[in-house]
Amino acid sequence: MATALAPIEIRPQTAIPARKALRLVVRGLGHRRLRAGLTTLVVLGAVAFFTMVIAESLLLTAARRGVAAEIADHRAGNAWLAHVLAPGSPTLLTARLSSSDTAFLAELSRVTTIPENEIAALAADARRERDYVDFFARMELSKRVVLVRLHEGTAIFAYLAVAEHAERFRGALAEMPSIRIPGGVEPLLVFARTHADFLGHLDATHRAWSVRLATLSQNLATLTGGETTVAWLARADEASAQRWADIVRAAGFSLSPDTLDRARRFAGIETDRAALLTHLAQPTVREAWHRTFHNRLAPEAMLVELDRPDAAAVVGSKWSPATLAAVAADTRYARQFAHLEATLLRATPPSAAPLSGASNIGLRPREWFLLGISLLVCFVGITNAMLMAVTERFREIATMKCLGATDGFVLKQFLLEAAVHGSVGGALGALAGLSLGVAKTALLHGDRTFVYFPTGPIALAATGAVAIGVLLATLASLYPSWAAAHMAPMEAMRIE
Amino acid sequence: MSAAAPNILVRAHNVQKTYRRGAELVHALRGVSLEIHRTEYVCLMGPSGSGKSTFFNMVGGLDSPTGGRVFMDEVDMAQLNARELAFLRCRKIGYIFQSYNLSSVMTALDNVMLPMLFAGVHADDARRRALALLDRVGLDGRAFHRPKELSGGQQQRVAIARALANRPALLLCDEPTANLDWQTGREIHQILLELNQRDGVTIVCATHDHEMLSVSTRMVWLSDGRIERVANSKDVALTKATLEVRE
Repeated sequence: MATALAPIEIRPQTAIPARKALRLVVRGLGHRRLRAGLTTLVVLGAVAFFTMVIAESLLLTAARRGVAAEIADHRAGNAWLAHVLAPGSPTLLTARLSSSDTAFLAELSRVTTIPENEIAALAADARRERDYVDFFARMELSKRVVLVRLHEGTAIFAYLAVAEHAERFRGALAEMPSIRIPGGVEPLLVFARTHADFLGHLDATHRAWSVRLATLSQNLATLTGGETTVAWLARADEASAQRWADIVRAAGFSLSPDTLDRARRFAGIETDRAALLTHLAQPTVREAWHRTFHNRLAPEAMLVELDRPDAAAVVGSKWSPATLAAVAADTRYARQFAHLEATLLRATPPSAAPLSGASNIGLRPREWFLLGISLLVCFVGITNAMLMAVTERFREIATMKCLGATDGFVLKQFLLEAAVHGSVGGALGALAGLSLGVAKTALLHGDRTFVYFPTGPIALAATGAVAIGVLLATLASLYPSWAAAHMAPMEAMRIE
Repeated sequence: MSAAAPNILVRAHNVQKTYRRGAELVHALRGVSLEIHRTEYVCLMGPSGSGKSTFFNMVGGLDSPTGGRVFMDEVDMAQLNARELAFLRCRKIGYIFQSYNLSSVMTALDNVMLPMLFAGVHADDARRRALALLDRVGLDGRAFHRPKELSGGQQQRVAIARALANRPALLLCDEPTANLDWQTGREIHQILLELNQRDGVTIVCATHDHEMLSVSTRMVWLSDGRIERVANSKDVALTKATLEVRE
């Protein structure tokens, strides 16, 4: 051994490379598996919950958007025919006016020959009416009663149009500073006073629309010879259908070749379905069905079974197997969509609008609150666990400082340890949360979860969840790490 | 300060330490002056509460005095910042603790290599030196055992090897044999004595163990924060019986 007689020269202690520090941390964790596992579990739990809620919401939003589009697409022919054949009501017209569908506004202007700017003004008013009605509908009942008594919906405007009521409304509003009328109080009162005019314009527009529809159906009747449009369109050949479409277009309606095809297909299937329902209800047919399939189904239920190989023989040669298969498939879709509408689409959170806006995660305030609480609990849990780890290891930390570890090195050790907990817990948690979210959605809403699987947003959410895990663990360990770094080296001498 | 003799390693000048415990002021050290020469083997003695531990920590750069100065090779330790103190602890002082304080997650070899990691020694050199040191304290063949697989005496030998890792000028031992049986304690003494006599390592040892007194060159008794008595080992050897009575 060298004799230490040289004079002492003192320099600042050098720093340890991060790679070596990390290796020390990982080795330490390997020998403290229980504590490390528990701390990681805290992160895992919080990140799993976070990922599950977000994933579920993303999956539902994507599935809803997809299914809604699918349903709209399936019913496009039917919807278009209803649009051209039935005048609807002024309320329905308000809803369509406020939907910001510019193609419809242009069509309305063409059909009714009302100038486009007047239609645009009408649409703007319809949107304002809808916004105000929504605003009051969302308001707490007790507050609403103070402001507008028991009036609801559009009746509120008639109430506020009276000067005396408007004065009372202003007074009540001044006492409730938490309530902010969108766009201000005065525009609302002005709108209320002019609401009657809006209703007048709306009514006039709807009348004009109805008159033009009546004219159109008269024009079509000369072509179809008094037969209903759907039945006629079902058996019309290409040339007749084109003539029919020309008359519709001449009246100002927009009708693309694709829409015409869909309308004809719908008419065909609908006519077949109606005829089949009558046919299947006959006692002789039902007997034959029973002999072949050994069941007694309602005619509506029999429609779905029409693509079975033996069905054609029971129904008779009036319908081709292809027609039967088409009717069966369409009926099946209709049933499926009715079911999805009742479950998936009904499950829409009321405050969010997940059917529009790609960036919307679609979480309710309550879910945000739960997420916040879970992250807070995780934060406190990690801080607690790390403080305990520091307390437990006081001798080790102090000894390291006696051996030449700087405060910065100790700080780095504990922060790195937290980051390891965060990344492992975060990755496992994201995986667990994702699996749970997908499983839950798939269990509730079936294969539509996977058809519209939002891979991009889900991957983004999972990555974000891991990042949150690392960030949370590191932030929560700031104080414990600081405490460890500032521990006095003479603690190493302490005897318990 | 006059020009000090070059062979003085530690010089404590009128060191005082006062701290507050609740409402009362505790005077742990009331002015201790002591010079420790290179290659000396000094034993610090004194009952608990005598200020022995406090003084010991001052010498090791683990605590700072509230009054007076502690010089390490004529460098005032109060003037050093945190990183310079870390440098000093890392390379100039070796610590040996009563409860060994080995890292339980590391092998004996890794424990000995740790101070060299802090000193920035290349891993291969550190490994070679650590193996040589373990050999030196008689632990060849135990390099890859963890502390819990070693006996108390073996653990203390690892701790000695660790303390020697960066060739310190001063070895500070805090009750190094208090947790060991008599025979093992003797072996530890033997190693320390050999280090002192053969390699010239300066040793400051706080102890109650009379076996240690016989190997030291000087003994310092502290009592109520003051140096009560300083004696050479020869004198103590003669009065050992009286000493035992006093304690």
